[in-house]
Amino acid sequence: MVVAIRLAYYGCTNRPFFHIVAIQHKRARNYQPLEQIGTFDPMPNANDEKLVAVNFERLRYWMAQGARFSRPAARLLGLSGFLPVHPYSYLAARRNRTHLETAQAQNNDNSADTENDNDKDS
Amino acid sequence: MFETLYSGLPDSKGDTLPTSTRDVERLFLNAEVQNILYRVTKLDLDKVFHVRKQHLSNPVFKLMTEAELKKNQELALELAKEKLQMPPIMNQRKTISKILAHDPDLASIDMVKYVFTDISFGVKERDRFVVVREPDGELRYAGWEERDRMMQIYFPKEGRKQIPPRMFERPELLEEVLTRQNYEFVLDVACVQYEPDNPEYHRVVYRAYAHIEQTKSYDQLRSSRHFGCLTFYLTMHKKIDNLLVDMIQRNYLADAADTIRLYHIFHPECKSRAELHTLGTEPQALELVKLFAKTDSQKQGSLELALQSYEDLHEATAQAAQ
Repeated sequence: MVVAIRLAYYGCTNRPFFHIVAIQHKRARNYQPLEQIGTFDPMPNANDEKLVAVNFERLRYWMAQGARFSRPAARLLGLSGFLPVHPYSYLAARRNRTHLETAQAQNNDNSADTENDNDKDS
Repeated sequence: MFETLYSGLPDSKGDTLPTSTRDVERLFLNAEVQNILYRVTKLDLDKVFHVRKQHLSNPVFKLMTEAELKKNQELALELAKEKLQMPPIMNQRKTISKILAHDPDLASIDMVKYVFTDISFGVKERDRFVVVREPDGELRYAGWEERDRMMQIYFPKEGRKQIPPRMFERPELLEEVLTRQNYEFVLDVACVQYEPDNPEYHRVVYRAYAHIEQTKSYDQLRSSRHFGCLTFYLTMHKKIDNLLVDMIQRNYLADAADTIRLYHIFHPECKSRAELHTLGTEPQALELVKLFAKTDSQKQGSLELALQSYEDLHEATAQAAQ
């Protein structure tokens, strides 16, 4: 059976936390894994960082055993530089940039409108 | 390995060491320097194993033969030597500024940084990879502060705090503690909290040494692991006069001679070294100190006065013996 390297969702209410695990791919999400090879904390800390710990040596071992990555795990490791950057990461980045630009443009429009209103009042 | 990975700014100026171009690390590791610093520290078992708060437990009584007792005393001596191991004096670490990848297409992937730490087994702390993916898509090695934090999170050292003690963050609080003359406490906490090449460590420790020099309370550190480093620092900065006076007043003339030998190693161009040949092949400790007082001392008056009192005292005792 194929080994998967994926994220197992732990933590508690309003406080997610992920374990990066190597596990038989048909097992339940939080089933006892073959090995836990890291953690990912999706909530930024006081220094505005999301912390990821990965045991790259064991990761390489499981890859050698033919393990497959889940998409979130592959994206995370792509960001780390261990794997090539995932195409979905590029898409997500581009989507975020577009959203930011439209939000920026809307802000500018709003501030321009309020300026015009003020002129009309005075 | 790390030397090739990062390039950065040269050693910062400031109140580090006047000869910052000289390799302080190599000087510290010199065998003769180490011997001198060990001798000057003066192992005192009563002070090294002083009474301190411990976990409560029943006292243990052992019945031993003379031979066993002697063996255990030797073991205690070895343990004391371990406790007196000096925290190394190192140059300030250079900033890490290596970029692994520019990825402008990944800009705005997230609003915060991602910090990736390698938690493989058996890798030395200094060799571990800690990389940061910035929100603008840049992948770079983590800076020293980030590295320290990550290492403390994933491989915590006992006694080291995640957030440094407030006396290290605010200089006025450090001054308060130094005014109370808790020197050993400050230096121990600094040693546990920071790596020896951390600029923060240097700032705190050198400020403590300067304060000790002002208050002349060298004896507090004697027979502790910090005395050697204190002597090293003072000798580097050519501020050994008060220390020599203190040693003479306590009849540690051999230590005074050792300190002057250290001075000669650090400052080979000094006048007293040039005139060393006048004393003959095996100079007496007293004569060496007198020569130093004549030539290189910055507080000639007080040093000669101390020497005078020492001589008078010893003449008096010699006469009394007769």
